[in-house]
Amino acid sequence: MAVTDPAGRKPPTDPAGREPLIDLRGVSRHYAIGGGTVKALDEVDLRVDAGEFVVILGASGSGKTTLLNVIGALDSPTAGSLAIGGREITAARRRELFALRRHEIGFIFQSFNLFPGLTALENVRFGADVAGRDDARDAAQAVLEQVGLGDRGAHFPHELSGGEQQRVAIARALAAGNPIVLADEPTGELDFTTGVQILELLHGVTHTAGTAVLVVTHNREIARVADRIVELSSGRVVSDEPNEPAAMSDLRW
Amino acid sequence: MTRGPRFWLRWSWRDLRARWPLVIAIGLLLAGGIGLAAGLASMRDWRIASNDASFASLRVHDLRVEAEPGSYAPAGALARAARRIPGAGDVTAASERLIVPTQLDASAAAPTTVITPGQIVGVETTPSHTIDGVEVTGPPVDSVAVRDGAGLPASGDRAVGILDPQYADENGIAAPTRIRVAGGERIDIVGLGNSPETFIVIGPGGSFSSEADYGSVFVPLAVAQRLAGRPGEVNDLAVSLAPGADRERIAAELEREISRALPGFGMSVTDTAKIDGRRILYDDADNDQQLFDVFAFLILAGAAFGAFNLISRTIEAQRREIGIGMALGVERRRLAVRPLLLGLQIAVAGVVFGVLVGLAVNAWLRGLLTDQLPLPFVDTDLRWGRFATRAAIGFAIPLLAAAWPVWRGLRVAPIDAIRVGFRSARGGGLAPLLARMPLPGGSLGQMPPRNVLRAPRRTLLTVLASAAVVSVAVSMSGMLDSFRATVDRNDAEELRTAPTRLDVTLTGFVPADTPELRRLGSSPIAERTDARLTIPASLRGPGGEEIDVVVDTIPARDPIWAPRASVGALPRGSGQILIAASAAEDLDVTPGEQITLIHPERVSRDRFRTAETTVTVSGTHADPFRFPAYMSAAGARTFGLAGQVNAVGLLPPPGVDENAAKRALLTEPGVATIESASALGDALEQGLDEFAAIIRVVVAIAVLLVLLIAFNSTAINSDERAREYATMFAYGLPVRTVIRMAVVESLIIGLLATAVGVALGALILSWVINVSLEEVLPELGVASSLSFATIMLATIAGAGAMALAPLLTVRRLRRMDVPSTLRVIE
Repeated sequence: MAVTDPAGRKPPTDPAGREPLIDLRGVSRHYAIGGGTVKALDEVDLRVDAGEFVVILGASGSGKTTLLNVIGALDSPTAGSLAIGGREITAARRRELFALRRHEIGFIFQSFNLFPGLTALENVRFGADVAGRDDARDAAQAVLEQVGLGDRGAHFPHELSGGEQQRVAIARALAAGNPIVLADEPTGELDFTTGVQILELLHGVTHTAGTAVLVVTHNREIARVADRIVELSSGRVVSDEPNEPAAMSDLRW
Repeated sequence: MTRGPRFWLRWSWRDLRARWPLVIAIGLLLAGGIGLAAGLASMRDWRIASNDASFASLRVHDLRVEAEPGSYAPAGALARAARRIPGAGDVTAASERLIVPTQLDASAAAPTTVITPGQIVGVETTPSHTIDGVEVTGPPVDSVAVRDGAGLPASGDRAVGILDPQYADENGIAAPTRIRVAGGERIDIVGLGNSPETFIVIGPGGSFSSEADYGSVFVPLAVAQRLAGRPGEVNDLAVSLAPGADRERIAAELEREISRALPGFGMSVTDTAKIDGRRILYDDADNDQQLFDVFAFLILAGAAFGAFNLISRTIEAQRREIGIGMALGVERRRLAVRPLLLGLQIAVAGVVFGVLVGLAVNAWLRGLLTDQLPLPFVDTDLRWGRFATRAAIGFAIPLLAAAWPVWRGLRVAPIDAIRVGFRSARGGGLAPLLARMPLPGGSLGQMPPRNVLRAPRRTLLTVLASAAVVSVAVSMSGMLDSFRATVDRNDAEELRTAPTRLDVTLTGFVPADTPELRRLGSSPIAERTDARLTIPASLRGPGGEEIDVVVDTIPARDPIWAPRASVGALPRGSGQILIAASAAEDLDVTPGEQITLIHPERVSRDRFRTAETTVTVSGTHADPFRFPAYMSAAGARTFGLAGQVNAVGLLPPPGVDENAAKRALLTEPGVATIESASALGDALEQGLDEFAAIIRVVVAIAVLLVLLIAFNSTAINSDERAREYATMFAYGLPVRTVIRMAVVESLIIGLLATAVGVALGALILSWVINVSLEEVLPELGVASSLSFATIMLATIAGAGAMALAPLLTVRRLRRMDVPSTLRVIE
């Protein structure tokens, strides 16, 4: 599926790439549960540049979703520092974190989380509206066409298939025009063919628009499409290697 | 394990622990409905019991002989007549009275100037006795219950009296004290008390007066005769009959005997039913109960709709667990136990709280009745039967409310029930319609109306619940509006010209050119005067319908004020009459048609007889009240009073204070009462102020109930939409924006509820005014009316409370665990 540059997209925070878009240094996230402490993240270092397609791979309970939540400013690290777009946000105030999410980050969820009361087009427009884009309506339509659903804009989520719903969710994240897209198990609810289409779509976005895409998954096959694979275990980064992306047609799961 | 009831009870107990705020909240909502319904249910019983006790204890007359104005009989003659009739064996007591209008000057006894019309009631005096702790004094029939101070002395002719306690309270008068009456005489008020005919203040000719503006003074008969200048004369007889006596027969015998013994003595014999105050007290109790029942039903219905809606949604939220149970092969009837137990918990909570609220409402109403009912004996014992019936209804509602969604939930296929996206996430309903409607704003602006329409049944139930409660506030407040609009229409007509004029009633009929009237006209407190006749009479229509009126003759020359004909023409000659539009409607006549005027007719100086004259309706006037009727000056001939007057309109010159004019008139010979042209309107206004206090409480309860419905609805909304809100937060939407959208959504529902509530309230108001009130107070001619203020009140109660409710969820949204909420594991 071809992806073209949607109108009005913002450039990554650091086009030159000299400064990482995402920069985690010694980030830990501990939870007090019962009488003990769970180390969901333990001194994680991670740098992601604009235009990278990174897969965070790990088994259940490895801390990958916590990592995504910390990067997405939904959760705060217990220790370490976190910078997004060159800006230190570890001690940012609640209001600043909300603004950061509006202007720097887009989310894609496993169960889509579309708004059932809005049509597909309006769901996509939501992303653009929240980011404060003046051309929200046009941008939403353009992005919806880019994900191949230009003719489905008037349909409500419950009238769409799972794959279509996830494409709408991707379009919503892209419509914000933010430099970072975080996807939490985006193919978890989809069949193989649809999952591949979704990955192809995300891949295209990374390379045509320079967006940094972080995909969290437990599925090693999905990791094969990444530019880089970061593997977590027990909250620690156990490997962080560049990867030669496999062709989509080679994927099996 | 799943077979034992203990398992389900344990699970249900855990449900309760997890959901207790919701159970309590819905329980409180039901409690409001149950409590108010149970509390209001006993009102009729209390009022009827209090009426019965008060009228019986004071031995209200069974028959009354009432002389025509200006007619007097020698003392003893009327009582003798009662003992001579064939049915005298059924007469257990007969007590003569002299009742004359007067002007009361209680300024020395009150903190402010108090100069008002009133009546002196001269009664036989007997030794006082006590009934249920209340001292009863005065005559053996229509006795006087003493509330404060002492009773009337059993003998002597000292000028002592008992003053109506309502008049005293309203004017800040305490006994003992001293007041002046027309002619300047003083009466020592030894106590405060009233009798069956004065429980409700009825002015001369059956007109309504406020408690502050019309006072009754009970004095020994000899004192009344002296004050009225009627020594040895009476004009009234109160008769008590044995139980089971034939009233109609004895009334006819009495009428015949008096006509035989006192030829030319104009009088009428009426029975207990003719006591306007008594009729109002009983009719009011019945009709008000109908009204209370409607209000209670609406509030209970509002609570029921709210409970049904909330239980449905709560059970829908358990749908996945029900689905999992079905998938595991648990029988449906077992799966129904848990949600039904939730309904049971809510029912129990509703009834427990409802009983507490009901007892509180009961206590409030009992206190209110004791304060407000003008009765010496008040019986407000708790009516457990009535209370229990309403509580039982309140118990059944949540169980029924739980049964329907449970049945609905169990019909779903297991796979659908398990799916998160099923039903709760659907954007169906009427939302697609809105998708085709061009709406301004972006996705954030469109979300609230879409959410309203995507679940039309849910929206409808919330709207109906709030609307039912709003309608109660609207109809109650609308009653005030309707009365006020009626008073305004009366004022617009009565005060159209010479708004500062005073209506002076004379002590009797005098020639229009008498020196006293000429002197009144040339006094410094009178810029202009006119003189006329004011005669209480009745009208009978072609269908036999009879209504009471007060006929005024319109001065022939230069009247200070004269009525206008809104339909037809002013009366001419002696055979025409101008009546109220409501009177024409009740008599079923139109201008040009003939009716029967039943009136007193003078046959000699002090003798009147009751006569019937056919008159033509010349037109209808603009006054909303039914009792004013007008004839031309020539109409005086009909009453045998050509050239005579008994009332004067007096316009004080600019700068003369009303009270000063009244005080000056008080000592004028021949003056009985003086009241301002606005007195009737003022009296009703005052009555409305008291009613307004009750309405404010009911409206406050209604607002609380709407707020509770709105809060419950919003709380469940925020549970159901947790993932949507979490998604919004993930996208960086601030809490205030999410709350703003929820407020807009609630506001839309609130506005819909307000619109439905106002429409329903207007319907109820129309029923109250046109059906119920028409039976109790047909004299007032009230038309239903809703003011802008009431609409605003409804909007604040409905839309305002609804819109505010989401603000109560701010804390919950602020503390939301966004990552956990977003990540639902399928």
